[in-house]
Amino acid sequence: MIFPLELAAWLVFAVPLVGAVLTPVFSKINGTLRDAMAVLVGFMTAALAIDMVFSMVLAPESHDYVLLTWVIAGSYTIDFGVLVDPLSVLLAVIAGGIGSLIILFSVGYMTGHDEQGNLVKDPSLTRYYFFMQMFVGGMTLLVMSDNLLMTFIGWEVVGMCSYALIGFWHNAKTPSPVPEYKTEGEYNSACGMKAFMVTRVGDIGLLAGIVLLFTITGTFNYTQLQTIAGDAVWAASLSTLMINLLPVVALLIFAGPIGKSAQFPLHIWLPEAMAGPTTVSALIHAAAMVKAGVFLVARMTPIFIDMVVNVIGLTVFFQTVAWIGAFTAFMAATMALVQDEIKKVLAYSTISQLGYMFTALGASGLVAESVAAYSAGTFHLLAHAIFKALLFLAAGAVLHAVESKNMRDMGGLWKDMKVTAVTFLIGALALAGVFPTIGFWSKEMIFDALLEGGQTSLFLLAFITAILTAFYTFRMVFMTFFGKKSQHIVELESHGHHIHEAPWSMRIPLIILATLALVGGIFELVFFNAFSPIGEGLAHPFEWSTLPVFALGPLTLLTVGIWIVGITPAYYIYYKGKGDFTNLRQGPLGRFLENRWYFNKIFYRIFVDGYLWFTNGLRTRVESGLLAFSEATSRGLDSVSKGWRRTMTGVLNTNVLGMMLGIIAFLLVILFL
Amino acid sequence: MQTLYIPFLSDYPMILTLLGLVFGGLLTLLVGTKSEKGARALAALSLLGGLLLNVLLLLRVDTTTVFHDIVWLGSETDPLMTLGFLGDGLSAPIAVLILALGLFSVVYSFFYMENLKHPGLYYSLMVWFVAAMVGVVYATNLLEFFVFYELMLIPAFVLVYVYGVSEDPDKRSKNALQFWVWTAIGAMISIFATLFLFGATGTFDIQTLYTASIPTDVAKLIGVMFLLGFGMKLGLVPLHVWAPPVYGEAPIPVLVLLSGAMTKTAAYGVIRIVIPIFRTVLADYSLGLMVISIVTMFYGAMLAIAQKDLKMMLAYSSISQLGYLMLGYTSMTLVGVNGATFQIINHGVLASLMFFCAGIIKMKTGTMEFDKLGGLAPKMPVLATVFVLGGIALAGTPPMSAFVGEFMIFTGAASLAGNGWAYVALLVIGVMATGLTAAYYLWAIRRTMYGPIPEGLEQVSDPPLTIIAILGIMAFIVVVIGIWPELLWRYVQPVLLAIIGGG
Repeated sequence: MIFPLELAAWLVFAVPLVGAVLTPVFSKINGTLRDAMAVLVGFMTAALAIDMVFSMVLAPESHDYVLLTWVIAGSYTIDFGVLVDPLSVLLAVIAGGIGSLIILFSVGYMTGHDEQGNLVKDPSLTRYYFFMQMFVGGMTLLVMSDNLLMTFIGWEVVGMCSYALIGFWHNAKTPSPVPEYKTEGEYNSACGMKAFMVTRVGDIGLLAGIVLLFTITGTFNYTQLQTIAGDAVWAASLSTLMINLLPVVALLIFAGPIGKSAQFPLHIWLPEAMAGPTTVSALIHAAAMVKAGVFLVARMTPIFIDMVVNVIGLTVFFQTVAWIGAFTAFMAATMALVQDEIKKVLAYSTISQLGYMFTALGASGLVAESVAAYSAGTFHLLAHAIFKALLFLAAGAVLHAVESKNMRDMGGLWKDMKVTAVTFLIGALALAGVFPTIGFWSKEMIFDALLEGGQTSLFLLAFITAILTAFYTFRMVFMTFFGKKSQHIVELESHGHHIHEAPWSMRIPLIILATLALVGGIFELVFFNAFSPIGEGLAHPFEWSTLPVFALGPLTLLTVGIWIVGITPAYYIYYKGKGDFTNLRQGPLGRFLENRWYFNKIFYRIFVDGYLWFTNGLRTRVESGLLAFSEATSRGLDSVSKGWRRTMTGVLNTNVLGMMLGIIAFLLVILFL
Repeated sequence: MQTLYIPFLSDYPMILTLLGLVFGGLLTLLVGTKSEKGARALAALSLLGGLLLNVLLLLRVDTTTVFHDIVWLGSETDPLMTLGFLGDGLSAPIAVLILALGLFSVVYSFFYMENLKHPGLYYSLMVWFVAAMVGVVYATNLLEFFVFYELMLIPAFVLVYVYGVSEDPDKRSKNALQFWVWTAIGAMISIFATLFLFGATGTFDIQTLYTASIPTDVAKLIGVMFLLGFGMKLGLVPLHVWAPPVYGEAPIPVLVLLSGAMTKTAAYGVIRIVIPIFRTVLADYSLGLMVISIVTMFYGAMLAIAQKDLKMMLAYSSISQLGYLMLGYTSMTLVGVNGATFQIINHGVLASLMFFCAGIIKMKTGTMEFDKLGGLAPKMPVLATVFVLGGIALAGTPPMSAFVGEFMIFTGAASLAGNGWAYVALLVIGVMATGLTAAYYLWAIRRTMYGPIPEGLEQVSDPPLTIIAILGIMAFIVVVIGIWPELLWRYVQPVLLAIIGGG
């Protein structure tokens, strides 16, 4: 609109990336300038993204702009370009918009108190803002890209930033929360490494999938892939091997999203990712990182939907996506039931909500009404971005005030932190899917798509998960803000520390996000209507949607009913304090859930301890043998040369000369024979 | 691009480089008996001169090739051995890499090699070592290639033997000897292959051999012999046995030349000689060769994580990284070999960068054992930044240069997928190695840089500015090539296209 669309599409990731690079420069001049520039860069990114939305609404089509040729290999050319379509713009708005609010929030959040109680800035803020902007830049690069290769580059940049930011406080001297490590710093850096490693497992599949897909199709470009996907002639030209390989490639590519978006079985990193500053958690959960996986599946789904006509085996891709999503949603929701740390509850809820998105996206390839399911999945992505950012930032404000992560150290905060409490409550209502918040609309769309499409078992699993969600969400609300003040808070107050409302730089983002979460359902009516044929936008001419927006039916009533079923027990147990669940909690089921279904332990046993044990064995048994052999051989040859030495030249080095002379003599013999 | 051209210097950069290094080394040796400072200055100046000459060369080979030929043995019209010098888009970047690493190692030695016995000897050997390696890269003739190839062993051996880190001379000689024996065997196998090749074609000239017709079964034998010979020097599992002892023994600057530069000459040999001549016949063995590369990648990575010492971890990492390189050239595709060439440069820079970092840690803390290190990041912010960047880059993370190389290598391997499921499986397994690489690097970073700092290391600080400058230049190159691979691609790609052909 204001900016030409192509320029905006390039700038939207160039601005934060350049901003990141300039951060150390600005920090040399002045710390405040550096912070201000980071906020400015954030809002410029957001402005560019929102500007693209208006451009898209005014002239709805998708564009593929190519900037330069990156690599020419034989008959292939790999171009670097941007693809501007509803999906990429939507994700750019989420990354830029929510990212900018989080950076603004950081200005207030990344301060602390020194021993005298003075306000001090975190000394490593340059590193912080560098990676925060890089994170946003990597994410926008990933979504704007018009090809898999560039997406992969952004994907890895995002992963690298998450590593650096989760382990941000790597030298914290406080005791570690888990006994395996000495200090919290050590724990934090281990968590960062865990995040990088677990997502890297998925990236292995993704990279292999990308290069194999390139071998099969000869292109990385999404539009070109979309074009050939529906091409029966092209499909007929493939060998049987390639036809059988395509579903494997699709699943390999899906491994990337499984890792990035923390789906079963690679969900284990996300809870530990809470070790970073809360702003980082918010960025990871709401704006960047985990959304990347959903984006990639959303990007590939239309291509595979077109391709499935010719390559029937690809159905397995959609089934896998849908079922892994539904199963993860359920599993993570059960884990969230027993968490005591507020951020951990939010982490499991993220895993669970991402599962919903995958369910819907996977279902879009299984049901007749593809677009409905697809739209539901992408709309839930938007909804989740808004309410999860809100919940995390509000939780951050609470942690900032209470100086503890544990909900048992909170309670009764309602009176002292009204803004935070109200905004948090709105976020919780959205997460639980209560009318009229944005979460209600998006969940209703997913249920509708599943039920209409005849995917009853997926629907049932998703529905049960929704009840669990409502329960654990309000368990969290009641434990944090209501009831009596905890021992911890009473102690804090007795030391003269007053629980206070967050500063304005933190309150403004909360209020903006809460407003969006509350009235965001309107997006479904106005904004999202323009965007709904995302799934078809690539392949078919862009059209304004004629989707029925809201039809009151039994399903709606059911969705409305969820929260009553879920929230009521939470109210009685955690607000009224009725019932004693100590036995259940400490029983086998409670322990099973608390230990995250034992997945973490089993994976560690096999892939960390087992791997180290194996490699150590390799070192002490195999390698030592090889080295001993080498030593023996060289000793043997040495004694031969020592024998020579007595009669001949004497210095070992001259052997080479001898050898050379020998070779030349040999040559001459060949020559003259 | 407007190229810089200086008459005479740009005309004969390669001959001048070699002459400069040989005589510079000699002067270094002579002056070194009197003054260590003089030896340092002369060594650094000769290498700097060589580097600048090769940068001039690089600027020219963009559009043309620089070629000189001096008949050395045999008749004028049908020479047996010529002393040829070829500067093209393939040799020039690698020569620049080797000379730059040589210069950096020498400057690094100013700080690292304290209480040097016979400084003149040390610095002159470093210069000659570089000279021999550069000679290998320029060579146009197989005999010439192997003369330089053998010559470089002498300074390398003496450097390890005289300046090794073990106090006990027996141990030093034992470790240096293994290196000597194994690489000499490798070179001998290659030389026999050369002679067979001469027997079959009647020429040693590499350019002529590209088009020579060789009977298939002979070609297979010779090709495999070459791969075996070069593979020994590259340190492919299980022929890597010489590498851990000598890597453990060599002081950091020598190690940088051994691992960063010397192994690359073997890789260069494969790309310059073996692949163009034998790639059609060797394609039959590509599955087996790919298995060897993947075994090397995995074995190196697994042993790297099992090490208790940063230096040895980096040594095994080096072995593993050369497995990637081999995977690139065994795919025998243009894109795969391109990736392998990128990997030569990437690994040359990155492995050296990591070794330099390890050396600084050793200088400042007195140890490279993981158990005695930790929490260095707040004390050494610059070093920590470079170290983390290098580790993440080696793990194949964009936008750093190693990703570009690895990506092309895997694309090359993937393009064989049509041959069967075994190739698909090999590709996926190969990509897994990037995960193992990330594991040991991140773990090493965590154990050295993060967490609590051990007692006694509170006073550790960043290295001197000169070393920071070296690290900065190397890190800059890593990022620039990663973001804009075209910078390297424009030189390498046309040459490879000409000698390998499209497809």
